[in-house]
Amino acid sequence: MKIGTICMKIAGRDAGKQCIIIEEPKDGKVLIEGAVRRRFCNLKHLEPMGSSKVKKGATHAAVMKELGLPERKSKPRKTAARPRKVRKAKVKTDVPKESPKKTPKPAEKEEKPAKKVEAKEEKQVKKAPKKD
Amino acid sequence: MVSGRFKSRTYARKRKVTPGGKNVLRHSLRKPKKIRCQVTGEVLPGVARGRPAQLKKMTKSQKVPSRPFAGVLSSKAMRAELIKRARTQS
Repeated sequence: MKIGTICMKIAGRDAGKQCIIIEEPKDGKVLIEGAVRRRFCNLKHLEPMGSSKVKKGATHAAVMKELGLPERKSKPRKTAARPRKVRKAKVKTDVPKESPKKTPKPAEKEEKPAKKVEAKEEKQVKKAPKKD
Repeated sequence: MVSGRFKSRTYARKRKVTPGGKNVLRHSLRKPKKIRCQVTGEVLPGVARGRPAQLKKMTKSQKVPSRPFAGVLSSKAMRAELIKRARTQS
């Protein structure tokens, strides 16, 4: 039992799942990673199956690639909206307000209908010679 | 007079004291037998017993342990089976 040994877990709720040892044994326990939860496991709960070239402290992705199993993807956590303080309205001071300046109104546009009347007259003039 | 179906031992009998202080006999359907391991034959601890209506109300984790072959094989038999599979795969 050393780093890189492929094992099957034979006890607990992860029993029957494959894993790889990624840390050296210490007090009869090893750190495992794979289709199981990443945790320290008693050597008695593992059955060796083979060896691999996984390095010490390998990631979940690297271990699953070695085992040829699909990677477990955890859902991204939804963070709650951060409560933000609303600023208080400014207190009114005793300084007198200046009277608002009156802006000059724009000059009135010239009446358009006058042009239209002229245009109509011109048309009538043009049409008249054709009848003759 | 006791009803005919209560005369047989299909129903379990239980003495109960009513709120009025009477000592009466109550009948209820029996629980199923304790579930045993199919390999070793030992009684499986942690597996719920009850009528189907009672089991329906329970969650899966309340009914059986959370491991493969739960409610079918004992932990010893399961371990032996998994070791056999691991050795054949390697």
